[in-house]
Amino acid sequence: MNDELANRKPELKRALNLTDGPDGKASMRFLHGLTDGLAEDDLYRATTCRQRHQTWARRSVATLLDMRKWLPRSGAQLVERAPGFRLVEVLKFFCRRKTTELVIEPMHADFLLEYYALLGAGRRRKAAVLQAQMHVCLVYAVVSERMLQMLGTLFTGRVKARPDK
Amino acid sequence: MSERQPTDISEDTRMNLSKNELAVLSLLMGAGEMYGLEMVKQSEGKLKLGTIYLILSRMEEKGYATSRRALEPAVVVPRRLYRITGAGAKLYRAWTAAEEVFNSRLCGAQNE
Repeated sequence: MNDELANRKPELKRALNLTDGPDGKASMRFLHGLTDGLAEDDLYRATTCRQRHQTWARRSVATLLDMRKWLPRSGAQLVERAPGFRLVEVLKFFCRRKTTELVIEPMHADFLLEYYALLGAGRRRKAAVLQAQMHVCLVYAVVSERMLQMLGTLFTGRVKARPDK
Repeated sequence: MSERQPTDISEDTRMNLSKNELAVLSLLMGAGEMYGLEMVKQSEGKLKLGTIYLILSRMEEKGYATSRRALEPAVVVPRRLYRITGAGAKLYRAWTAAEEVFNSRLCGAQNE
């Protein structure tokens, strides 16, 4: 069977339409192994291992290349997560529903729209400043609201507690 | 549409307006409905994006403005559109009239 396959190698190559690229070379190696008398299972195992190794190598290179996102680039960047979402989720724990509805959500929406407008205009530095400003403003809004509420409670409590009132 | 009902204006909040609140009222008087960012852009630096919603929520508590959530399917975070109430419009007119009288009397005193 092997001699027969060896004789038919050029014919098989033409029939399988193998090119000189990496895929074609891999297939040719498979064909050579088949004609050299290796067991079919071993061949498949070797091919699978090689493909898996290539995939892992490709993935590790891709991971290394992905580290470029930490470096400053001049081109457009992909926005993976809209800024401020995590902070808003955290702040929702600390403030009332009314404050969330009236202050935090609309403020966040407006800051996001402004942020996207700046990114669209290519003003990335200004967008980064706005992002920082958004975090500060959101925290300030919640803290000031809570502080005012506490002071109000304290003051009204003291006024009510006075004996002449 | 979740439209908020304005609360009654109590005695101690009557004519109690800050400079920023007056700026917001003047903007809302000119336009029908506005959102915070629009007001900041039109105020020419008088209002800041970080404090506009605190002012607006305070004004809503006082009953000078009313708001509703803008339901746009494409926007994830909903915006809030603000509109002046009758009480707010009345207060603004009273304030501007009082300001005019004050200025005219001041000018008259200066001329004498």
